[in-house]
Amino acid sequence: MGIVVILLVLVFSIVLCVIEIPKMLQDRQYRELWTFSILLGLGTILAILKSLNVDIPNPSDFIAWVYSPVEGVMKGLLK
Amino acid sequence: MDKIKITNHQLFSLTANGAIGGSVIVIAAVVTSIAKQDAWIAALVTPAFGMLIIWIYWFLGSQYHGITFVGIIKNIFGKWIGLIVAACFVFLCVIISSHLPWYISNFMTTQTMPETPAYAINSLFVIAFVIAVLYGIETIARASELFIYFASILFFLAMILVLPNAKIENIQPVFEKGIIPILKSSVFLSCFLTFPLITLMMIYPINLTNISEAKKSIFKGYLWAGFIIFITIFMSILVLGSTITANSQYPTYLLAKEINVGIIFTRVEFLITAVWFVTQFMIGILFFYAGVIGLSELLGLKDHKRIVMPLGLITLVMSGVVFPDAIYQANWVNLVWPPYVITYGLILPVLLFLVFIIKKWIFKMDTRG
Repeated sequence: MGIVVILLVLVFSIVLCVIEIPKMLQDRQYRELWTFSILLGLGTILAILKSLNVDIPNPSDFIAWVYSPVEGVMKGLLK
Repeated sequence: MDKIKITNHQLFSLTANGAIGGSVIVIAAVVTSIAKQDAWIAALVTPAFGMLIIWIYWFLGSQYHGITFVGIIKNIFGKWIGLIVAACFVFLCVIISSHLPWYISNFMTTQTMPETPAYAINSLFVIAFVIAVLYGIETIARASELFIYFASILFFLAMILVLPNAKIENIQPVFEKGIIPILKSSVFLSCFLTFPLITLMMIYPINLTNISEAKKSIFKGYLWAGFIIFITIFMSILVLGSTITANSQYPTYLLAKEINVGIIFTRVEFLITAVWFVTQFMIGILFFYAGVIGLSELLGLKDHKRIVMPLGLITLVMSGVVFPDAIYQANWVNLVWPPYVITYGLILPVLLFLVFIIKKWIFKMDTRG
C-alpha cells in the first residue's frame, strides 16, 4: 500500500511540475517558481515519509509547547 | 493581488458560515461541561462580548481600503515586526486548515464509515479546498451564499422535528452555580464562534466594494451564527440534559438522533451532519484561503494560484499528522486552542487597534503643531 501511495504522490508532483513550471518560466515569475518548488518538495517528502510510517514532527506539539505556560490557567477555566 | 469584489450579502453569508462551521456540532459539549444546565445563557452572553471584537475587526478593516490583514499588520507594526507577526498569523491559518479536515474524517470513521481510511475522506475535503481557492474568492462567496440557506433551513427543520422530545426540567434549576461558570464557558464558546472570524480579515477590506455597508452585514452574519449556536446548545440541554451533552463528542449529532416523529420519520440525523459539513467546509476554505493569500503576500508573489496545489498537498499530509487520536485532540482543543486563538483573534487586533489610535493621535499632533 505504501508503494502505491508513494508512486501516486510522485506522479502527481511530476505532472504538476510539467504543467506549472513552463508557465511560470514564460511569465518570468521566478519568486513563484522558488516558492512552488520548495512547497512541493516539502509536500512530497512529507507524503513519502508518512506513507513509510515515519513519525513526522507534529506542529500541534510545537504550539502546545509554546502555550504550555498558560496550561494551568486553562485547566482552571475548565473546572 | 486580485481585485475581485464580493457583495455585502456574500460577506454576510461568509461570516455566518464561518462562525457556525467551527462550532455547531462539537461546541455544546465543552460549554455544557463547565456551565452545566446554564450553558444556554453563555450562548447569549458570548455574542454580546463578540460584537465588541467584531467591531474592532470592522474598524481596522474600514481604515485600510484595498489591503489584506497581512498588509494591515505590516502597515501598523512597521516592516520587520509586522513581518514576524504576519508570518505567525499565516502559520496559524495553514496549520488550522489541516486541522479542520481531521474533524470530518474522525466523525465519519467513528460514526458511519469505520472501515474507510481517514486519508480517503481528508483528501476529498482538501481537493475541494484546492479547487475552491483556484476558482477564486467570488466562487467561494457565491457558494457560501447558497450554503447559508441550505444550512439554515436544514438546521431549523431538524430542530423543529426534535422539539417534541424537549423536557423543560432539564434546564432547571437556572443559575444554580451563579454567573462564574457561565463566563468561563463563554470564553471557550468565543474561541470557536468569534475569534476564528479573524480569517475573514483577509477578504473583508480588500475584496469589498461597499465598505460602509459592510459593518451591517458582518454584524448580521455574526448574530445569525450566534442565534443558531444558541438554539443548538439550548436544544441539546432541553432534549439530552446537561450530563449526556457534556460527555458526548458530537452532542448535536446525538440530538438529531433523537428525532422520532411517528414511526415514519426516524434516523434523519444526517440533516445536522449535512449542515455541519457545508459550514465546516466554509471555515476550512476561509482558513486555507487566508493561508494561501497571506503566504503569497508575505513572499511578495504576484500570482497566488501557483502555490495552491503544493500547499494543498502539505495540508492533506498534515491532516493525518496533527492529531494522532481523539484524546490528544480533546486535550489540545481544550488546553492549547483557546490561548492560541485568543492571541491572534483578540490580543492581536486589540494591539493593532491601540497602536493605530496612538499613531493617529501623534500624527494629528504633528499636523497641528
